[in-house]
Amino acid sequence: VSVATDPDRAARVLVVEDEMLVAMVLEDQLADAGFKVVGPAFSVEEAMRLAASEPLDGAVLDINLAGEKVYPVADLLAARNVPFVYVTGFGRAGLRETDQGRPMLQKPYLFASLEAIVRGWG
Amino acid sequence: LAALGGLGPRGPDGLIALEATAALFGRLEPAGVVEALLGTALRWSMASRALLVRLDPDGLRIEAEGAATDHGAEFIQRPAAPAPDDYLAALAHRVIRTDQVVQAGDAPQRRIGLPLPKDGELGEALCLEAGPSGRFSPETVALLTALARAGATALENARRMTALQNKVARMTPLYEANVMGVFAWDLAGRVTEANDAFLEIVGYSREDVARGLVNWERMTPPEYRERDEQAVAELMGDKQARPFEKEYVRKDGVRVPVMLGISRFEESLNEGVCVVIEISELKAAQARLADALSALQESRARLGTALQAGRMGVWRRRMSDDALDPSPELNVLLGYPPDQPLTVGEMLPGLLDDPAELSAARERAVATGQPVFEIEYAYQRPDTGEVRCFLVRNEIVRDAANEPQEIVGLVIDITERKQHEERQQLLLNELNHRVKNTLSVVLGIVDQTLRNTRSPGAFAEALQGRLQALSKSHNLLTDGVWQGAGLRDVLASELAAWVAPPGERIVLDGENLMVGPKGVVTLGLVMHELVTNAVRHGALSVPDGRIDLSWRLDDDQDLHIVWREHGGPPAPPPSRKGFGMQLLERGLAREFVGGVRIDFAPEGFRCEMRLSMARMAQT
Repeated sequence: VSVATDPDRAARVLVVEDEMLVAMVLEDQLADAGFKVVGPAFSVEEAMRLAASEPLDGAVLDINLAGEKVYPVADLLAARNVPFVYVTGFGRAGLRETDQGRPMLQKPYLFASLEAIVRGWG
Repeated sequence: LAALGGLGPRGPDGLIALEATAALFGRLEPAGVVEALLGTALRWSMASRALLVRLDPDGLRIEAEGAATDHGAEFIQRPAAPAPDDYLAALAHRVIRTDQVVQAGDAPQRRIGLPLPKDGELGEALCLEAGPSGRFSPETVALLTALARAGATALENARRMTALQNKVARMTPLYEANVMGVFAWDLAGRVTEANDAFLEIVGYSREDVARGLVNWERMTPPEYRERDEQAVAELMGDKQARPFEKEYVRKDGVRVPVMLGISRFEESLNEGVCVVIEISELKAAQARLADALSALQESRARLGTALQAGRMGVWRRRMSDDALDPSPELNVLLGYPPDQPLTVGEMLPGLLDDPAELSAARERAVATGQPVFEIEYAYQRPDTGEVRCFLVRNEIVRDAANEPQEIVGLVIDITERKQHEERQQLLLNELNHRVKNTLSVVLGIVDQTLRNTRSPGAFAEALQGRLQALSKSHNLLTDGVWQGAGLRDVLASELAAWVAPPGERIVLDGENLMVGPKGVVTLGLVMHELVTNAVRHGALSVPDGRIDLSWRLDDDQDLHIVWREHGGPPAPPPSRKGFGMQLLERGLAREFVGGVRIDFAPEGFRCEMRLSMARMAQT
């Protein structure tokens, strides 16, 4: 994903995370790194709406959202060919069989690791 | 040094320039840099007096002064910082305002002022008065300009270094919060400051810290050194290391398990702050689980001799025709009358796990010549519908030609043990999740506080308050077994100092609606920000100010909370959005799909929140 200084052309990254302070920090970090944050979405419902309607260059998905799984959002993004990375406290064992090849970061992770993945898209 | 080069034939030679630069940059104390700066200026310009003048919010101040004497220069550092006389003040003002070199006095030019360029809004000027016979030649002016520039940089470096040292000292209020262990570290292994909570975890005293006896490196058992090194490597890149678990060796030699979140100061690669949570409880739960597991394994091992212990059954099954010969106890376990002859076909419908797995395990054992194999399966009793968990130990009996003839099976009901194991695992996951979650919330607060405060003192104070607010919410949640807490209880606990009658300054009005854990944490933080703001700028900053805090549910199940201040000074909008505003607009409103309206009205600050009650109540 290329990062332009022009905010209108910055890569658009959907953030799905239900822990409010974590979402705020991630939003600030992505914005500091030159990305345009879409969201953050705190629920599957909200994330589905954004994933369906917004132009997106990528997404960061927390797997557990207030007891729900983020998978419908992941499937919608995959169908739209939007790359995404899972972030979860449960590690790779918590992923679906079909997601084993997907990039995943175990929480807590370093922002630099996430940034490297996001910059690698595109 | 480059700034000092190319001075022309009459300037001091390179050696002097080098010496001056070394003098400036070799000093780590701001006072030392100032002395070197004024001394060099006097020597190079043959001036009689050199002054460093600073523009403070309350006017111009002389920071330091040097005078030429027969044998060099004499310095006066001025901690009291007197105001300069009118003539000098006019000169310094012009220098700082224009950022230009200014010469003044009757010709020949007898006074000169040079700006010390820097990032801050307020500036400093180096002012010189020529000696009896002197004036400032163009070469000298060029030289002094370069010196002032180099001096400004050296001074800023020295001040930053001092500020950094003070930062650690000034973090004291944070440590006193004692919500969790906090200490200031450096890469030499030292613990330079620590709060009581940390000292309690590691069993050292405050005197031990003062005497330099507390050393995080020495407290770390050897097997964790490598993990520490990894964290240090992460800190170099990211300013924060991923939280991790390790152990410390307490002063009394006992090991204590901890989880750490480490940040380093932006200005220093070698120093930072570490947040420590003791996780003995978590580790004890892990140990209990391990005990339960090994007990289970042990009981499996003892199966052969445990027939008489009950809740077991035996059967023999002939390989040739699948004929089954169950013991009466097996019938009871499977939910049939003890004397009813059982067939394999009758047993199969009760199996909840795939029967193919059972036969696959058997075939594998037969093929590999293994004498015994074990398998666990879930079984639903046909009589009661109850689901039980069985462990089956199968022994393959072979004839003289080593051909399998029959299987002797031992069935043991391990339902209770299994349930216990699952409960332990659930509890452990929950505890683990909560500790990690709390740490990520704390790190989120640290990050946001760093973004929104400008001085270490303000950072420490703000962080302390926020961690205490979080801790109050956690106390409420612990009382409610983490299912939630009453809204009135949350507000009353966060605003405790202000809501107690008589003479209450904040009046609460609304029902004690049940709010889930996330709502409790977020509302606690929001209330802390609102009340802090009111104490600083709003209704609680004067004796007679009051706050009405009311809430109600509307017909759409939206929760309306209104914070209304009155009787205080008028509330002007802030110049920038601090953490409180960010929390309201980017946090609360979005987390609970609602809206926040903030009104800086002349009669007082007002904040209206509309939040989805369904979302707030979520557990």
